[in-house]
Amino acid sequence: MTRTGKRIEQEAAGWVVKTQLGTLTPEEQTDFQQWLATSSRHQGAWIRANTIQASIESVAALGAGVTPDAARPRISFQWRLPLAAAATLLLAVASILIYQGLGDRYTSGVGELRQVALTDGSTMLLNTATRAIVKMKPDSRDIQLDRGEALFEVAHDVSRPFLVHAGNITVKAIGTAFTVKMNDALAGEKIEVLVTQGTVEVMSPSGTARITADHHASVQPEAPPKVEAIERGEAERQLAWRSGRLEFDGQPLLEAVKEINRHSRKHVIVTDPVMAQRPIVGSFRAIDSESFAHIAAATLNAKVILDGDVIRIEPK
Amino acid sequence: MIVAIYVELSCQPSYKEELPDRTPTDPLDAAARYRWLAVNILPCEGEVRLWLQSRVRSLSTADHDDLIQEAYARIWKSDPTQIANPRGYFYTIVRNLLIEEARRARIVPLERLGEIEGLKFVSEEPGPEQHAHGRQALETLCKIIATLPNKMRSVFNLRSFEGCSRKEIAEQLGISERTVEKQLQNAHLRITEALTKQHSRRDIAQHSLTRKEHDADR
Repeated sequence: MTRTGKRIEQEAAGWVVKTQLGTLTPEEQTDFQQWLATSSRHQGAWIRANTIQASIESVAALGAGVTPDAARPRISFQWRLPLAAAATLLLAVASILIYQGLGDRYTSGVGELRQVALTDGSTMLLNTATRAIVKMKPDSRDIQLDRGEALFEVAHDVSRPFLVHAGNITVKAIGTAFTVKMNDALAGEKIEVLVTQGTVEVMSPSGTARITADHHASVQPEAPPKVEAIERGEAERQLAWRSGRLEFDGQPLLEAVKEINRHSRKHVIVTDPVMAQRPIVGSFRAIDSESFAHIAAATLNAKVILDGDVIRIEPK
Repeated sequence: MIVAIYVELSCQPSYKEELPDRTPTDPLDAAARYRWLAVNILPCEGEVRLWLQSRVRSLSTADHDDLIQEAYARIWKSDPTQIANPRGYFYTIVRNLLIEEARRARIVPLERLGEIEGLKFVSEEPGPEQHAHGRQALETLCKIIATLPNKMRSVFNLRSFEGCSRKEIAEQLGISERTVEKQLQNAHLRITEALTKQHSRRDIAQHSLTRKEHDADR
């Protein structure tokens, strides 16, 4: 095998361009069919080239807002090129501004996990429905967690503290691993910090606390951080989301449901106050709220009602 | 000296390649399938190539190109809705292709057997983030476009951002329609190259580190 892979890649790109331009002549159409039938390598190259095209098109669609579109008066041909160039330049400049001034924004959708390698060697794993903005500065590494939950594994660098800002608290680390979780800080819910390695400092307006490995802190608005030790297994349980699962070990159904609903678009609803407090034990696929509902209902001797976009768990 | 030896391969392809034949009631049409590949498979390609480079050194880069092309054909045949971990799936397919090829060949350099054996479990590890979403992807594409030669870039922008036809582009830039196609083809190839080979030194360092650990294990 020599350079054939590259040649096939070139041919595939040629066919994709022609197909996409809609300029295939009937003879070319026949040639193309023959080419494609030659081997699975040709098919693979064709699929790969189309994948690249799909990627270009979906990205170009994002740029459409800054290039002249059909909604505006048609622009004469001689203006098109400068405008296209200007649009590209604008995008480049905008990207640089975003990069330098506003920081890099990372988001994950509902049910999605996103691993981000940061430029300083640290990593950030975003749990479901999370948004974080990363600003790497010469004297500090600043992460603004707007919502959701993230696990940080921080590369050691004494000269640049790693600061995670969530609501009105700041978590400071140097080289360690920890998670910060905020469900809805605006609604006055607590912010949680779990440390699995090293030490972090949690600074809130009402006090500062140091948290060491296998400790958990919860910060209620207007109260000093509350720190408690946790068992190894408990930390693992709380971090099961890393592998797309959620584990419960006797948490009330209501709490489990809240957790499941963060990960799934199809929400589970429990209205019965007695049932809401019943304990749940088990490991569940985070994005599969329906299976969760069925299993929970079976263990609690309840029934599941599929009601449009929501799943109700109700007493029998 | 190349040691060629006949060995019964102990490793089996890990067949988790669900649904080898597509059913007529395919849940995804071709365009959606390409978008799925663009989001889930393409961003991992550079990583898989790097993994091949560092782990399967008895094969040339051209062989890696072949493997990747074959892998796309294989992934296309499976049902995306059944693939929970596309990145791991990509690794599994490539590993299976390596094993299949080794079986077909009957005579395989001894070192490759060790390499294939060593390819387990990598697919389970979380990988470096390759998924460029939204603005980030746009930024990446803009950076790549900026490196294209002037004429190629003009043709590409007119097509991709302006949606001009081949004729319109040719008229506007005063070039032949054949040249428009050629330029678009070359732009496509250069973007392919950039999107699938994009790796920081850190990633490479990480890969060689895992290789060292793996060597130490043996």
